[in-house]
Amino acid sequence: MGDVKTAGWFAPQNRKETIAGLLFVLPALIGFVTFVAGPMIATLVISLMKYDLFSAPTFVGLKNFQRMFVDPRLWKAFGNTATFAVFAVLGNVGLGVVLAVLLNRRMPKALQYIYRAAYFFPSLVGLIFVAVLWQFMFQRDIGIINYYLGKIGIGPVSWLSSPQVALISVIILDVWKNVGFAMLIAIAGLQSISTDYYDAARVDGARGWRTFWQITVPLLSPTILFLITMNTIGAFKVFESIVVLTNGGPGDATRSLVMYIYEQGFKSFNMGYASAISLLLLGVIVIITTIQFVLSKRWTFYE
Amino acid sequence: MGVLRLENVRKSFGAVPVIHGVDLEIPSGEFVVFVGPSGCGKSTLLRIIAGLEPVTAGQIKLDGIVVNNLEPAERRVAMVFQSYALYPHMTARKNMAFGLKIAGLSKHDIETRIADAARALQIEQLLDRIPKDLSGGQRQRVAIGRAIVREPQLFLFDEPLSNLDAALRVQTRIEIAKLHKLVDSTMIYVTHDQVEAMTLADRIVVMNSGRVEQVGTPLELYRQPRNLFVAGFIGSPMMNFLPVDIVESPRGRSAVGANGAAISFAGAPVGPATLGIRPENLSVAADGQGFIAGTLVLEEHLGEHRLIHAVAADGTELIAKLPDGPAYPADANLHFTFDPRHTHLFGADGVRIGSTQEQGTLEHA
Repeated sequence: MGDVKTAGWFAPQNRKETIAGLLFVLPALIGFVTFVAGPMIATLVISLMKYDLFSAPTFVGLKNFQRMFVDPRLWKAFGNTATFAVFAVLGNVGLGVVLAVLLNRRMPKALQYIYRAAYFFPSLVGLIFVAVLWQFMFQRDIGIINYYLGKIGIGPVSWLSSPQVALISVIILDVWKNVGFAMLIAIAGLQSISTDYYDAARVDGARGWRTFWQITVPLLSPTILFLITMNTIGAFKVFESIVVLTNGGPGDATRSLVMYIYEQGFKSFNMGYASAISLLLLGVIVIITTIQFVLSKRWTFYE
Repeated sequence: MGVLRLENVRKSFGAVPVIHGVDLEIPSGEFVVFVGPSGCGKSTLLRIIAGLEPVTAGQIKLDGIVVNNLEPAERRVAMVFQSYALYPHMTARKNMAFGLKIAGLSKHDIETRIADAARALQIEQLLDRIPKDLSGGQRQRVAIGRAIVREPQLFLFDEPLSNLDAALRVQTRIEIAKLHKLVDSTMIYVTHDQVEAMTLADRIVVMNSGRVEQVGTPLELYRQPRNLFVAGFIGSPMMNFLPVDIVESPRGRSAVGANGAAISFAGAPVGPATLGIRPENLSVAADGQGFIAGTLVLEEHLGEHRLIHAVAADGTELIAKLPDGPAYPADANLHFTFDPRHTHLFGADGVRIGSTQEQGTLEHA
């Protein structure tokens, strides 16, 4: 082309093009400012305030952040969220990849579609509905799970009312709901791997688990990294399913960070403190995602 | 070691048959090339031999033992893939070591074999790079190295040169030929490139639509093609095919061409046939002479020789390979003649009747 414009954006000869360009990005820009940048800046500002939604906010400096260090409920919620995230990510990604490998094998087409649809279906159902459904399943005395466990001699489990078990129940629901999506992404990733690698591995004598660990997993690593990142971010923001299933209980046994933010902001009207915790959550997600990407350089391979 | 025998090997994908019963014996140490157009089943046949594809019927024997149900590694075959299929997450060294580790070789043996192969292929300084950081030619060498270190009975190559540029292809072709002399294993090489087939092969297997059309040394195929397909496939530019009629004449059975010229075939049956003449056997005759007349379409000058493209009155396209010389005027009417000893006659069914090497004579009226 050769006509690289060296003058500024608003130099007379470029002005028209610049305005046209800005007009094209305007709709996206308005959305971004209104729903992303604006709230983020507001959160940042409010986190330095004492604000109860009714009276005018007052500036309190870093007081809201200092409060975090002496708030055991916050750290309980943080611990719950971190535990949930670790197991939900392991469950979703691990099981998702295993299911993908199983359903990517040669089998009758119809069977393949039925299985894939069955595992993916929960991803299509509204989360609230899923949670209500599992509420019934997890009931101690009339729940279907305990009914079948009883048949094989396992005593009734207090799925939702035992502090030790409730978080596990929440994780089970999350994996059941989201594993299909991870499976679908993993199947797409598997199908982009050339069958030549598998042929080469067979000629080299590799079979079964060795092929899975030494060929499939490394070649799928970019997909796995994507799944881990997306699932981690999602897991740290877990909210609705717990609200319906246990409402954070018993006690604070299943309360997540976002639930605690909601409680502080809209029940206790500590908007300043809620904003400060939001920033903590943002910081944690950014740090974890960064660590994942840095570490991923050691285990992901791009062709 | 490394005697391969195929007995009535058949393969169908679902209801679609792709290999229609192949019988072949490859003695130890031979370099055999499967050649044919795409879709002819040559790659499938190679994968069947490798053990990557099960046969529908028939037997594959290695050194007299049926290996139909053995995995590739158990057959002691090594394969070089068209895409190289180097594991992208492993260095060249690890790529070469992978199969050896699985086979349970000691660390020392693995290192020795890799070092030997790397030296032979001149890839010693590339061993710690991953495939992404290697050029196409370098990847090719590593892929060959991965095959060599396994010390297989049978080397299988699936169009290994088709991803390389022209210069590198010629160079690598020569190296594969050298490699064969070096390792002395049986090699089977699949290509659609007849030049690769002619230059590399001890014997060529020409395939078409899942059938073996002819098996022979490169020169046998060139001089005595069994049918029209082989005649057309081997040799470049392609052999000219002239539709002729074999008639009874006072001089015996003969085909009559333009200008009253006639070529006689003592053994041929009366009726329609196809006369095959290679472009290098055609020459331009004086006006009013020659067996075929055609209008010049295009002249390609290639330095040492030129290709004359012409079209005969009946629409038959002709190519003649002539020594270079002054260009003919556009649309020139050219008369072609040939040495009758270098013609091939095919019957109406496309099968070779015989060349005129002994009995044919060309007489101009």
